[in-house]
Amino acid sequence: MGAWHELAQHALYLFNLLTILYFFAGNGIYTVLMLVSIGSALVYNRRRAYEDLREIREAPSTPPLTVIIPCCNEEASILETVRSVLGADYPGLRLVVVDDGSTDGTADLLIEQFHLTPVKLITRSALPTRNVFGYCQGAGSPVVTLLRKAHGGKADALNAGINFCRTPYFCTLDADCLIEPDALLRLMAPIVRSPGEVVVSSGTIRVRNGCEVSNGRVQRVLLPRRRIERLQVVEYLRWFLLGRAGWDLLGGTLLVSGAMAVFHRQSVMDAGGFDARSVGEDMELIIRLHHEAGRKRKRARLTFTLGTVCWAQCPSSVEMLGRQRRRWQLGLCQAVAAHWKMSFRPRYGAAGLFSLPFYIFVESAGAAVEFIGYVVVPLAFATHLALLSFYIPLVVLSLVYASFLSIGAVLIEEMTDRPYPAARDLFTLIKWSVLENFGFRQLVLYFRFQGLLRFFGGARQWETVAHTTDEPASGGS
Amino acid sequence: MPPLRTELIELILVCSFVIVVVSLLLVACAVWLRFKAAHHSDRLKLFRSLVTQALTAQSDARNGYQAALAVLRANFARRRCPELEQALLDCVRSTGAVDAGRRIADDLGVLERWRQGLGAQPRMNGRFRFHRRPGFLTRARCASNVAAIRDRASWKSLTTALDDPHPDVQRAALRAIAELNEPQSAHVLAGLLAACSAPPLRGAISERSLRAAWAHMPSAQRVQILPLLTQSTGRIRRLALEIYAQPSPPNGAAESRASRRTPSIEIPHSLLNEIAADPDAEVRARAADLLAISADGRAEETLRALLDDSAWFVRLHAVRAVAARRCPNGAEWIEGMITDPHWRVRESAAHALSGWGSEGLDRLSATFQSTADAYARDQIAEALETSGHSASLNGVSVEAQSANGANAGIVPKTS
Repeated sequence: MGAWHELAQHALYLFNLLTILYFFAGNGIYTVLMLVSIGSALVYNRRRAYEDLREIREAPSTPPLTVIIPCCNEEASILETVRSVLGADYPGLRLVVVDDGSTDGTADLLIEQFHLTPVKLITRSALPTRNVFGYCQGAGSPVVTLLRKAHGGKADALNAGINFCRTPYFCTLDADCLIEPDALLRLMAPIVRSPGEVVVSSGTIRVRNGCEVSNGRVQRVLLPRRRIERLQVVEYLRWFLLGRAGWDLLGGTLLVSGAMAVFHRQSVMDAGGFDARSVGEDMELIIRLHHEAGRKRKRARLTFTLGTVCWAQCPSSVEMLGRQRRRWQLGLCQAVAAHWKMSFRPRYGAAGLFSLPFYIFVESAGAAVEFIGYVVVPLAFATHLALLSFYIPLVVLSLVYASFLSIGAVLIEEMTDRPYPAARDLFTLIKWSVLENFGFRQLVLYFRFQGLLRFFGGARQWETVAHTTDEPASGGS
Repeated sequence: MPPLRTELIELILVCSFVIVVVSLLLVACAVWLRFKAAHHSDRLKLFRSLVTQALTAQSDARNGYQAALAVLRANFARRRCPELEQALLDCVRSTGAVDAGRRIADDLGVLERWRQGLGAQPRMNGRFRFHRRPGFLTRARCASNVAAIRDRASWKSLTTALDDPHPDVQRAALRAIAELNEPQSAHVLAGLLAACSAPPLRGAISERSLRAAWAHMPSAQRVQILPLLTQSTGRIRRLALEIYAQPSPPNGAAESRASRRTPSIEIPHSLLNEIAADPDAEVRARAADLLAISADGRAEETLRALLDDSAWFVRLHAVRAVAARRCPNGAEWIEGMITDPHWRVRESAAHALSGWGSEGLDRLSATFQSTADAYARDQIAEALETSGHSASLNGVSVEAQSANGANAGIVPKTS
């Protein structure tokens, strides 16, 4: 019994060391990212005074762009999404909606609303995809094309859209997202202004739940009513304004939201397109683009703009949240596991040296460390192996630090777009920045841990997230 | 195994306390920013109305202008008032009263500050002789502002700013030079173009930025580009041709895209012939684009020669140019391109003929029956269908089946 007790104490001691190391490494990196993001926000805000999007709109050299919307059973939201793209301010815009084997009325709705007529076009399969059934096209401007194909998943649908696309750049857009009128100009600005090495451009995605929407536009920005949605608003702020803005400035962007991003078509095709076997196809492609660039010793920039480009729906129920987070964690693990050899290799720049190790050790494995911590600590108390006087301050520190980072993200939002106009919204966001650590964070951790287990269990299936459309107003839709 | 030390616990508690204090500071910052933004918004509204009054008073030639200026001056005491600057620029952009706006900026001393901010050189300051210069954000903003109010006196400073160490300032200066639209700007832009022998261009100016700047210049100014067409570097010749062929928008891109096929000024035919025989295939391809809009009748023979070019994309551009020019024998020439080894040339040729009227449709039909090239037939079928001639396609399919057997139908690749 004594030997067992001593062994358990040794194990607990090692676990404590691991936890403290994980805590300081993870939060240290997040703090650096926050400081970098604050600097980035300061510059972004002042740059807006002289960076004129008219230059992009009016220049004859601005490349045309194809927006690809993959959709499967999205009849509830597809019309608003297509309208938002048709109302976007961009010269030379084309739109391809890829119907990935919908069994509801998605395709019929599009055909009816946008007066699409069947056309016969050659299907070029530069990237392998499931069978394409046919095309319908509208006569208006920008040209809307509906591509109908057998169900193969989001990555497969995107690849079909890329095969059809003829423009040097394409923009992926989720079927439940609304884009800002100048979003495409903003995303293309770094591409137009740089001498040609930008392969991906992305921006800040915000939560659409609760906002007033009509004619494909977010007319009035409001915080969602449900707590679970409000908590996700804070999460989105932290991911985009703190995480991605920071990594962008450090040159280590590894995660681009699949909801909306602009890609250089040839670079994506050279890399083999989206991986239909991956659940996190967007991240997997980004890592592959880094890999290709490193292999060919080419410079490939991935840029991120702090400006809001798109409004996405977040899950409104715990069940849907669970599905989404399990899928994200599974996708993350698949992507980093497939490319772990890039870690700590200077050839791949900041992505290989810093980002990938961070995503492997902090974002992927961190879920396990944190979850096991929540299990081990009560057990240690129960068996009198751990001291309450040590764990309580550690737990307090972790909660305080997490709140600090979320508040930092809210501050960055105040420095940039500040979309929530009411003063009380600021206090609501600060309040939820603190409250998310009591229950919500643990719930998300549980889902992430499930995702991790599914990865080790070899799961590959895509969990569908259904959204409820309960915007305050949807007139004109 | 060492026990967990009390010092560690104390350290954790101290860290927690520090983080709580910093978090509270961040909250205070956020609240301060929110109130500052509200204050900024109120001041902006006030200045917009005051600037509008001053603009109206100036245009009405009433005596109220000085009074309006006095009210404006009374509302800003600091050396720099961002709300006033923003309100002034907003009003100038929305009303188009550039001259009046410039006068107000001049009278209020704002213009002088912008000029100083743009042209300021690093200077020795104080006994420690350290360099002090406005930051790149200020320099870029000043460049943008002087262009917005068309301050021609800043032109020289803007050309100097093209050599600024920061790319943002370079880009803003380039855009400002183009917007000022001074006759001597073309010479500066041509100089930038000539300097781009190897990527990147000077500093961080991209090809697209340079092309966008040229798009603001009047067509007549593009004569400055012609000497660059004989440069030894293929990249310069290609870029020069692209810029030469691009339209100059009078009122934005919509018009420019609509008038894309409008020739700007004519290139001498001898020079056009020279660039059509350029060793660089990219240049020859761009030459085909220019030949499409050239008013010289001899351009057609040159285009005919380009249809036999060794580079597929030169042939592609030539096919499009022949179709755009509607050369008298063009349909016959393009018919020969339907069996081109490269699919994009075939596709382009098929589309060109499908839009050529009855002669083009007849030639497509004839080629469909006669050719053994399944890919060419495939593309003919697609071209006919997308151009709304599916009726002729049905007829053609039947004819083809009877002429060439079962395998002459539309190839399975067509969806």
